[in-house]
Amino acid sequence: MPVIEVVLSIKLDGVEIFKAPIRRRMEVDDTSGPFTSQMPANTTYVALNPPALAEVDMLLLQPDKQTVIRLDTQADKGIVLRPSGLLLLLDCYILGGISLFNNNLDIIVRGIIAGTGGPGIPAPVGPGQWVAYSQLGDPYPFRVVA
Amino acid sequence: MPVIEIVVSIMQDGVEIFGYPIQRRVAVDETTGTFTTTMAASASYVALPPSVMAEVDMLVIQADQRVTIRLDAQTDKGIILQPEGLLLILDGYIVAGAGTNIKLFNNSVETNVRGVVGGT
Repeated sequence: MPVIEVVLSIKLDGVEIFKAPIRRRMEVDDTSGPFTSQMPANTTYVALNPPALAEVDMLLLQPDKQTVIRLDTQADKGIVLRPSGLLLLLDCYILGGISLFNNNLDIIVRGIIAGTGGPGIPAPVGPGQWVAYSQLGDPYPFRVVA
Repeated sequence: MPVIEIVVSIMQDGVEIFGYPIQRRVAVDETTGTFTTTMAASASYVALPPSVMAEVDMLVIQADQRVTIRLDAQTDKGIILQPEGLLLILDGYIVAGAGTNIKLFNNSVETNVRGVVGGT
């Protein structure tokens, strides 16, 4: 099982807010590995590509344009991120998937997802390689960022 | 203006993932500073005590119990964090109003929450 380790340092005016960086180590069933995904312009919420795991325990998303993120089949509102905004969740419990609204602009989303019950997401590959998810019914292959 | 700087490093099976660590730096008009607060057991959603900002641009929340977080006057679902789980939003835009921007449900268990809120 993959082991994901996250070290998070958060400084406010140069001072670590929790006295020391947060370190978290999680053994997960599946991970997307780091992905860079293109999401075509759309006027509705679209499921994140790569497909979310059945249970998401860790999540990092960085869209390059303003994006609204809905988690867990949320039906109203959403988390608005400005261009290059960042959403990080550690030890979360999302069962209903992840969807994004890109304000009808092509966006590129970077991130990583880890959790349980994946649909057979392949292991991470090296920089520059393409990962095709067509076998999962997903129309958009993506390339691991170089 | 206060400046928030984060560095996220992610390793998989002991190997630093390509493209990480990532480093981000944002300036906000004001912050709560680092806060630690105890939220009484409640069977409903309660505004995070330092709920003073009309616009939240950055947010860090960590709780010692399982909590569900609703943002921006959201009325259904929510972000479930396990005990000691963490939510970080940087360069967000949460503008439902000071009392409804961030609400927590603690499953009727007294909960210690710490974090930082930055915005306007």
